[in-house]
Amino acid sequence: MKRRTIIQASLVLLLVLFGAGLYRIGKGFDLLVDNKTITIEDRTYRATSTVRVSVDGGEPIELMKRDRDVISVVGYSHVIRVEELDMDDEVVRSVEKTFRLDRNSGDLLSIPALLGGEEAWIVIRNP
Amino acid sequence: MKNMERDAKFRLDRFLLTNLVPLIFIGLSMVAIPISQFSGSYLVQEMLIRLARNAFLVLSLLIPIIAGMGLNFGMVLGAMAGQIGLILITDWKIIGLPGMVLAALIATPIAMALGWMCGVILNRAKGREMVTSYILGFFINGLYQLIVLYGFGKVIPIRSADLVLSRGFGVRNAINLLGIRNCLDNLIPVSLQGIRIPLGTFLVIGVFCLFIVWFRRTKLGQDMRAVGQDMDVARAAGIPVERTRVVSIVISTVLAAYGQIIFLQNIGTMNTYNSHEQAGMFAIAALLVGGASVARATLPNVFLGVILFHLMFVVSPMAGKYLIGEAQLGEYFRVFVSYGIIAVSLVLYEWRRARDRAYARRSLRGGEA
Amino acid sequence: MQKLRALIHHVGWPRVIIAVFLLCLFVAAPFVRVRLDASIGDTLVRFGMNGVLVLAMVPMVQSGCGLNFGLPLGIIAGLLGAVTSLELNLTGFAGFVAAIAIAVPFGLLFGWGYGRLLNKVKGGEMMIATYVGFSSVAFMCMMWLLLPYRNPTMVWGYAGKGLRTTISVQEYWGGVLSDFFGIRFSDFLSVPTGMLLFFGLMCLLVWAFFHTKTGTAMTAVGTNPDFARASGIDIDRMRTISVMMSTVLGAVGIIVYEQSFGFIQLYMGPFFMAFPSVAAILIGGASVHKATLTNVLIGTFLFQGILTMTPSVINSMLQTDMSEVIRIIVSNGMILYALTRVARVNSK
Repeated sequence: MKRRTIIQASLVLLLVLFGAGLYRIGKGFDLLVDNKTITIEDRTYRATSTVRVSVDGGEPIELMKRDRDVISVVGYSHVIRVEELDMDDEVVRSVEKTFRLDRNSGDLLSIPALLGGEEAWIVIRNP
Repeated sequence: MKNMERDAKFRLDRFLLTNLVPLIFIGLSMVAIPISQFSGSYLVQEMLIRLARNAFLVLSLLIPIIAGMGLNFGMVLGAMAGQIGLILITDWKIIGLPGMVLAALIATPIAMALGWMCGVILNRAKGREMVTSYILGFFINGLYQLIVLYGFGKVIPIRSADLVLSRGFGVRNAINLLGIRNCLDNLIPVSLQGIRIPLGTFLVIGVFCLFIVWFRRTKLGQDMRAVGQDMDVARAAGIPVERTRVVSIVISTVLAAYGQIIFLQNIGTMNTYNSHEQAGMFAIAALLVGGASVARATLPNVFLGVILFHLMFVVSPMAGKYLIGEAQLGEYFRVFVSYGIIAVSLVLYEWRRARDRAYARRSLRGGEA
Repeated sequence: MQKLRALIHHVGWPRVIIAVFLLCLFVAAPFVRVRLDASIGDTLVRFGMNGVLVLAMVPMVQSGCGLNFGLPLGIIAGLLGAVTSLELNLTGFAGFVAAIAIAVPFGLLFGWGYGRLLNKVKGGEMMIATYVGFSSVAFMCMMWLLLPYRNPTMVWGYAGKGLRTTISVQEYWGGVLSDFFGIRFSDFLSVPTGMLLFFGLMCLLVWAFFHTKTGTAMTAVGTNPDFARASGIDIDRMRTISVMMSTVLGAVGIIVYEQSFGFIQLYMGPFFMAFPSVAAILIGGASVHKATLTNVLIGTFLFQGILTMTPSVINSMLQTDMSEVIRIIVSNGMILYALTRVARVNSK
């Protein structure tokens, strides 16, 4: 009887863990990709050019200056690829960066901050 | 000897009686399809979608029928459990297949608890399981509304503003399930001559069918059949009748929860306060249309039923429009058909039962004389 | 204490709880600024409105046909009567009486067929009754569109045919019963004397019927079919008569309801109407096998009292409208209780 209880309890535990795992792999985020001038702790990053952004190798989006758009991603760990474009839509420079999201991280990806080498380029959206 | 004579005599009218409902439906469809002017490929596509959407829900009705508890009108309990799972994953923003599986995982314990409760109550209402489970569905619907309309956002935290009513608590009337929409249907994309086949869902349904075939052969399945045939005999044979009945309802309720999740993943939007009510009625009507009775239902009944019932469903508004110039009429016609078909099947079943009883009584009297 | 417990046991826990709950609502009403006289007035009006519909449960329960979930069939007969009376442009008492006069034959006819059907399915009446009710409502949905009624106040303006979903009877015979000898105590409290008298008359008729030879035979069929058969009573005939009575009462009941409510509700309107009546008579203490006029009176009062009081009192207390949910839980909980209780007694 006791053995049975243990088996049942561990089965329940396993299912709970399974659920937690599903939560982790299935958790979706709506990220705001932002190409605007931003000030983070007195450091100001100017939006200077049009950028082409893709996350996890997905469909790229193009953002002009002072533009923003929403990208939906699934999971916690992602790779963002940013290509800076000049007037003739030629790639000037491209940056690739891996980032992690969690419950408390913001959902606003500031491209100028990323290109400017800012550590905290993912910020909490100001309502 | 005497028995055989009786069988032979009644064979034709028995065949007509047992297959009356599907025959009527095939007849109706044959009249209505040409009138509706739908193209063949449209109908095939529509039937495939609806088969994927509904088959699982209908299949969840089979096990209580084996156990002799009739049509499980209490399957709406499972549907509600499934919906609670869906509300939560939508709030948490869990996307795609993991979201669906998580919803099912959340729904399972709720459905088990509700199913257990339903089983225990039905054990107190032997002989009137159907009407009791029917009312129980309404009763739990009240509790569901209490939880979803007042509990969510107050007791159970809901963060997503899209889900909550403007007053700050309670879930909105319609929920967009964009995150998990068609995720199972399109898991394995297949299309044949422009007709999309939701293979992923069909695979799940196939596995479920195998489960039912396997389940019938297990000890539990055999016990259920024994209980369904005669409770007293089963009890004398040492089968725990009450427990077996409860288990059959629990299984059915849990499966109905999964069925509802699959159903809503196909539809893509959820009517928080109505989706589950319709689920029960349409599933039961579909099963009966397939030629099942209250006491006997097979896998072919399920699939034939879903196709015939939904064919009628798709075709009748247009047929009504072309025939009488009023789409509303066709709309009412299909409502009438859904309820009428349940009524007819129930009448046929009870009538046959009453006739068998009367026959048994007569032959008993004849034996005495 | 022992006596109290015995009393509670006799009355049944659910009834006690509901009665106490209603009492609490009445007591609490003044504190949350709900006018007591208005509440009592509303309760009386709804009591009169629904009384006859609840009464329609009695014959079928008494003859052993179970709870009349097929009440919508009777309601449809009533609706046909009401709509036809409007089509004939009859007003005042004449219109009301004509509506009943037209509805009764329909009720008898429907009841006869319905009764015959139920005789074939003894033991499974309730589920079948539910679905007979549902499918007849759905069938009539089509009929309301097609039947050749032409009165412009009833049909859709643009098409000139097909009845509207709600039809006002205010211009015809709205309130003829309620205002008959109506007593106004204040702006808020007026007693619909005529309607209550009519309900009383119906109760009296049913009471008298159950004291005739046919009536007692009907009760015998319900309480002990074997005994009834042995003493030469035609069971099927008794059951058919009871179903016809129930159906006719349902028809009359809905006309009384409409004259007070002021509107005829067609299409899906009658769909769920059986459930409040079933719940009411069960709250009044009836079981699946036995129902008395006392059950009807007490049950209608308690149930309608709760329906009237919960929205006003609970809403002022909690600032939210929970009345609908409470109604669902109370009425279906009560039906559920009755269904499971009988089985327990049977299995002993």
